[in-house]
Amino acid sequence: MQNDKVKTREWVKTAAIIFLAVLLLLTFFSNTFMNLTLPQVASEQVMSGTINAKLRGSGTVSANESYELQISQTRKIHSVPVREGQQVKVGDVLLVLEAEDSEELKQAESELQTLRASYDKALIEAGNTASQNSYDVKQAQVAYDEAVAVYNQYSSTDPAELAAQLAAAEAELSELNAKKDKTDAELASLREESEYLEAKDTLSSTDGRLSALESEKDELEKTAPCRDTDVTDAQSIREKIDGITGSSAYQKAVARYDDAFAAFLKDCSDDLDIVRTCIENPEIMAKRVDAELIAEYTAAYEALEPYYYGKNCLAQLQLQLPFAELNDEIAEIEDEYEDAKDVVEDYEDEMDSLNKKSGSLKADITEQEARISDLSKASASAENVRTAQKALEDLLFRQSLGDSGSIDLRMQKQQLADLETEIAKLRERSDESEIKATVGGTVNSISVSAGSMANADTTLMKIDLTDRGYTLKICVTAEQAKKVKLGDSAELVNSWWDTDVTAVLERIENDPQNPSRSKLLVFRLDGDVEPDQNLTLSIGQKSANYDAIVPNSAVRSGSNGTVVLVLTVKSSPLGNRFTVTEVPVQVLAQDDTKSAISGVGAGEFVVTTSTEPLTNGQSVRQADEQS
Amino acid sequence: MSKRKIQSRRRRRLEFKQRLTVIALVLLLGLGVFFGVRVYALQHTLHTQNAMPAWVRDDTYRYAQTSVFLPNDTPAAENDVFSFRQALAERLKTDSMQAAEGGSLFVDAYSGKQTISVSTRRMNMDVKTIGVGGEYFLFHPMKLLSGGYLSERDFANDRVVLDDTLAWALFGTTDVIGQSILIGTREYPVVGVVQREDDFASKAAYTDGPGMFMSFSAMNEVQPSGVNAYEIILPDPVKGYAASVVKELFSPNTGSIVENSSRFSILPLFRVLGDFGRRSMNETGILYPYWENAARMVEDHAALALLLCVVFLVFPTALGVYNAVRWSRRAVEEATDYVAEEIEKMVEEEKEKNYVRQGI
Repeated sequence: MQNDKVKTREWVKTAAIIFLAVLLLLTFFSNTFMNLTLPQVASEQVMSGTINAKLRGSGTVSANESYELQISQTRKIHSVPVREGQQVKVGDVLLVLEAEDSEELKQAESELQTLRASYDKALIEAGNTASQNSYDVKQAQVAYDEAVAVYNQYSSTDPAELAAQLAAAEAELSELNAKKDKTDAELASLREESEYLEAKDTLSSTDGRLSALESEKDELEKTAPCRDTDVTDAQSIREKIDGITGSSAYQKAVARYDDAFAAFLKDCSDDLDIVRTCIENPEIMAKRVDAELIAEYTAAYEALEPYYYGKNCLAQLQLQLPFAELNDEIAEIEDEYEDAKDVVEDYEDEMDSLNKKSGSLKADITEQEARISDLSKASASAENVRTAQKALEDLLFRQSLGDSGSIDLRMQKQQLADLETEIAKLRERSDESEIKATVGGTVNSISVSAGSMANADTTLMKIDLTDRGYTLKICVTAEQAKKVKLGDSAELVNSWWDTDVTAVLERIENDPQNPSRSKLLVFRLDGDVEPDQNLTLSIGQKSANYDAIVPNSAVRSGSNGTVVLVLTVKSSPLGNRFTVTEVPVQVLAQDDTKSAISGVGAGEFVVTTSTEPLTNGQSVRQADEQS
Repeated sequence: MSKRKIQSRRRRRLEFKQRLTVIALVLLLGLGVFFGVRVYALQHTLHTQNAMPAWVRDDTYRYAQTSVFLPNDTPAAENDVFSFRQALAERLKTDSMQAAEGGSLFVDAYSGKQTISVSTRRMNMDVKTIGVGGEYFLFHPMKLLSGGYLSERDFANDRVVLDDTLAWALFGTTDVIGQSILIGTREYPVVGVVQREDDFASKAAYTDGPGMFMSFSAMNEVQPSGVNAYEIILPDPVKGYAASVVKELFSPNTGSIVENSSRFSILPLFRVLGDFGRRSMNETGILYPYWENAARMVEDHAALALLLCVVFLVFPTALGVYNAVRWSRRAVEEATDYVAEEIEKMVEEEKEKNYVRQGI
């Protein structure tokens, strides 16, 4: 018993000691233990700063305005003279249509014919029924039939068409007349043209002048022993002459000869007859005159000889000079003559063709006048048909006022009238055969080709109006669209080329694909852009200063809105204790890495990341410092 | 042999048997507790299945987390998510639930996957990208190595978040906040680097290599994509409300709906055991995202642990119950005997008092 008691007491003592030891250990290391279980957080200080929130988006460049070519009636296309990508100016021909009526017009006219036929039939039937009872109706019917018979002799076209044809024929006639008048006026003015008249004068005067010069030349030939009477270029001859006479050699020779002759003459007692005799009789000269003188004279004479004998010697040249002058003048006159002849020929050709044209126009006019007179006659008889028809109608309508048949007739008549007005309108509005551009730009797309039908009121061609700038459309959410305003400018975000492209927000449109959620921002682009380029724009708002800026990871969303977790520190004897407090905030602005918030002051610390989700008031510990 | 020796041997054998029984019992109990703890641990391994504590801040309503997974050939479009949000808001209003001032009653995330060609000055590679919308990172709170997450509140939608492997591959460092990556001809700024989940299930389930996150609308602009996973936390005032509302209002309804917040409770885990065999069959043609695959793996492990826990605890519990019953019966018997004795004693005393003193 005693042993047991001792054993128990020992055991109790050991247990107590172990218990106290454990208690002490836990107390000393309680902080560490607790810290180990607390979630770790990383935090940052809230600071003031600037945020430049940039909205980025990309889109495709397109021309600011696009012109869609349409025609009002369906026509067949003859040719398309422009290509995609081609620049066109106002007035350029974009489409050439076949010169036939539009589909709508054709259809309306065939409808009109059917309606008319059925109306006439109905009228006749009604007439037949009515005429059984009424003499007046019968008479009117007979008159109508007669008028129709007369009309058919003139023309087989529908009487109502006649008016149109007549009008067209008359218009053509007046056109022809105008053309003829124009041609005649041109002809008359040509005839009076001064150039022409002058040329004719030249022609007629030339003969006289030429013959005068020829006779002058003949006279000269008789007197001047010129060897070459057909020389020309008097000027060069003159120069040659001057060259020779101006040369010192010649002058010396002349002077020498003069001296020699003077001496000779003196020696011959100043008697020219003696001189002549001496020259003609050399033996006398040898006796009479000094040998030296003779030698000198002979030498001087021989020196001078080349100037007077020889093909192109001075003497000949001098003889040639007047001939050359004459020949030059003759040549000039001949040239004038040729020119004048050409001018006159041209004018006369032109006048001939105008004459011919005038003649053919006259023939056309006569033909047209004949046609018109035929048409008028036919039209007059058609008028008769119409009057007869109207008379019959009136009788019938008066007779059968309460008859359902007459209502039908009236309705048909109304339909006819309506259709005729429609056709008139269509004709009025029918397009020309050439569709010209009313704007300038680049052809973007062509959806028709030669030979195909161009439907009414559908886009046949699209032209980008490139002189009105380019636009870029970017799709953004409705909230993002609220943050930008018209007039904001944007920059290009592309890494490789520096461009001088500027973009300005022109308008904000609804996105047709997603009208409730997104909007289209339309930017006007200026600078070096081309259509179909894909560009990324960055629309920056003015950077604004904010008091409280935190990293994006500090802002958390919860069921009660957006919050940040503020780290509060309390120092205690066992070290710093950290707790987090939830603070509701509003995000005022945001960029890629940080947000500006309201509700927290600068200088506070907010939790950016944590190892576990945190609740309000939870204790945490700071993350270990990492190098 | 002497009787004493036999008796003492018998007594020793008895003691040995008793000790053995005790050890076996303790062992069984220990194993049971171990597996019970393991079940608990597994229930709290995956953050993706337990996003509510991070978001729910008031206790006006009970909440539940639900996911919808759609097959690849009939994914949802972004617009389907938006119309679901509207329909849900109206339904909650009709069912007279109201959000706190400035807050909201539900939060969701949607995602799709594409392979996108990404390049930087260093290199270019094809990256498996998850296009995210809503508050994706609330449901997938991966550890942030730098920067921040993507959120639907972001002003610009062309931001990207890389995982650490991708940041290393593209830039050679994880400190890449402020740099940009290039997709096509457009630059996308990097705003965050995350580290992938490191629990055993997520590690086994994630096989896509270096990965990237970008906003769904931006990914859709690069390559048209569909939504194949949608996660939402919404009020669940009565059991099954959340799942039924989602099933009814979400379109297209070709997907499978999972209630994440209750999938690891005891009964659903038993159901997993019940589906044993059938679970491995894929009849829906849905390719689950990696986090759902991880969750299913955890479910399998947890179910198994639960089974073992139950099996190990069966015998000790039974024994405990048996002993408890026997002890209580004995106690009751003793008590009644004692009471009977006392009553007799009292009767004798009274008899003596009344009758013996009076000399009867």
